[in-house]
Amino acid sequence: MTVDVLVDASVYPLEVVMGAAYVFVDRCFLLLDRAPEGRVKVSFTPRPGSAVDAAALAGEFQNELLAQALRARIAERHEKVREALVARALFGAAPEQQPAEAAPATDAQLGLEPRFLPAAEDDYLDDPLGIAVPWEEKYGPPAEKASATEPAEAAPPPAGGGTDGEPR
Amino acid sequence: MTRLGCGLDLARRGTTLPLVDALGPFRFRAVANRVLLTGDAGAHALVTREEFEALLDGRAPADEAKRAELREKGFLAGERTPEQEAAGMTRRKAFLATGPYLHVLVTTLRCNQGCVYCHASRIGMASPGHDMSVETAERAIEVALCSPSPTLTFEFQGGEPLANWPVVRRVVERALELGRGSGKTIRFSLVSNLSLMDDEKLAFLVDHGVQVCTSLDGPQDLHDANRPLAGGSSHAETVRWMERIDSAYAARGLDRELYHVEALLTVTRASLGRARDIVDEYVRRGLQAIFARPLNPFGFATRTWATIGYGTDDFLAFHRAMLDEMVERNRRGTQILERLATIFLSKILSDTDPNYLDIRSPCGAGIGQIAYDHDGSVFACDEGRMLNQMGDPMFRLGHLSRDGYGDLVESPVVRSLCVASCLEALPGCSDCAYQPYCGSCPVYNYATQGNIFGRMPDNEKCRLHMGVLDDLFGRIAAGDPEVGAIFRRWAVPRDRPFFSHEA
Repeated sequence: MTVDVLVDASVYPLEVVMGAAYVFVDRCFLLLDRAPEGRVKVSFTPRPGSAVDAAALAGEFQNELLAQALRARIAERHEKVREALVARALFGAAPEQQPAEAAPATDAQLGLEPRFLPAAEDDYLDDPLGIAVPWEEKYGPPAEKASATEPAEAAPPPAGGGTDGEPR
Repeated sequence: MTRLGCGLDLARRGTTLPLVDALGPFRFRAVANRVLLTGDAGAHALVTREEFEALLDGRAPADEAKRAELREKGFLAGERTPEQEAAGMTRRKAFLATGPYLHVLVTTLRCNQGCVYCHASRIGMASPGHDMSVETAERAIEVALCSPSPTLTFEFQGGEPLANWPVVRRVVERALELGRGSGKTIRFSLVSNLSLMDDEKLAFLVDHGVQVCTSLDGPQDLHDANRPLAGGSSHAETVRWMERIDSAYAARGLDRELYHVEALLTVTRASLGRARDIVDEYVRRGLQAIFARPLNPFGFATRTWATIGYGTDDFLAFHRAMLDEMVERNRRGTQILERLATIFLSKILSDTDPNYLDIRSPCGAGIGQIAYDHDGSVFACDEGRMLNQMGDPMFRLGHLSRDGYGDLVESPVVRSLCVASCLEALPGCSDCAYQPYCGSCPVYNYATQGNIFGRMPDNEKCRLHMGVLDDLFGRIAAGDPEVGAIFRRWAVPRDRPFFSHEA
């Protein structure tokens, strides 16, 4: 026996109706359809051989609608604090480094300087790639015609062959 | 009064609006004949109904000491700054910064006991193919050592972990070896029924500072009924080895007060009404703590529920009776505490969190603990692993043969569990006065309500936590200074350096 529930779409957003209906897919076949007067019709048909009471499920669905709607609203209202906590927790659990496949070890165990930090604080003004050197100083004054889109001469590759400055 | 709500009839105040400018942010709940106020960072205050009414009218309580308390705790505006509140929350949530410290290794599913409530879905001792291999265990250690946590605890679970002794032994040796130079503190904890213990194992465990935890369900008749052992009494075996282990600690000059076998109590229907007998048994065995754990809807307990199960209100009545008994013993000078109550009291009576992974927000699944099953499958927590034993791999993070630490903790399963257990954004929790002290278990919610987001009005774990907190705050509100001193003593953590290895 199929039981229909009409939901006022001005009270419950469609994603809330869908979320609540989804909870019942293991027990029923569900169909969502438009209904007059801005309503959504949710039809519950118990799966073949199932002993579930579709009328009771419809009542349970109404409670689930409220739970989903409230959760969505509270999640939205408390989004910042939740995101801050979750981000802090996930960042806190993140690996100190990507483990090696067979024998993971920390940078300290491998005798490396910690990654992403300069080896010594007083090195921060070093400019091995010449990034801070003005264009004119490095390549001379711009050519009269080609300067708008191309440098007069390709930049030399960075020393050491690396691409991002990480220790190799 | 409804269970969730504040328990106060505010509607009768008519249209009068509180002068919120005079108040700080707080949640509130009627407790005994008082009103409990709590803040985000866990501060609490108990005020009379009249004082609460005055607060809502924007009038500070007449009592100067009470006014000072409310100002200091931020319930009255004007003294505690937002920066102080933020610092309090950071301190309270310090566990978020450290990552997984608990690494549960299920060394085998085999067990020689047939406990009526087995959560671990045990396998018979003769069944092959249910032991963790040395290679799998070593890979688990390597993964665990990638956690940024400064402290790592390797917990041996089963089945009966002693049934796979070579792996227990190897994990201890290898973890200490691999951890050397990492700067981490490493601990080991063995959860065992002790019946497979022998002198060699005992010597190794004590030599290597492995903490031993067992189950003790009460006097012999109760324990043996819950935990049958073929051909003997499981109670006799357990207490015999408890005494041996405690003697071994004492022989090393360790303080008996701090160093003894810890025990867990699983409450079944047969335990109800026997709180005094159980406390007697624990005190007789020299134990100073009982961890009263309700039955979980996992494993074998789901099949035996009809004979051993009970309602949450039954558990709460048992728990209250046990606390009554313990408080009386403490008044007479005996040190005995209950751990569930102590976890909550630690949060209530201090400005920090004991980091009990099942009762915190967000919960510890994947960000505080990782569980490694015997076959190398990895789960966000031990409860998730138990659910897998029941045929539902919902909380599986990956497998040790192909996934590294980063793959496991960055799994979408971990993110989902983290979001679903953030009480600050859950209906029924976000505005609950007990939110700063509580925790939600998404695995429990999923197993009982079909959704990792708990539906609190009919969530039995929520009912249990609220019941215990109502009881504790009721006792605090009663104002007996001796009870206050007992609770403060319970809430003080005690360090056991013999079980910590500075790597």
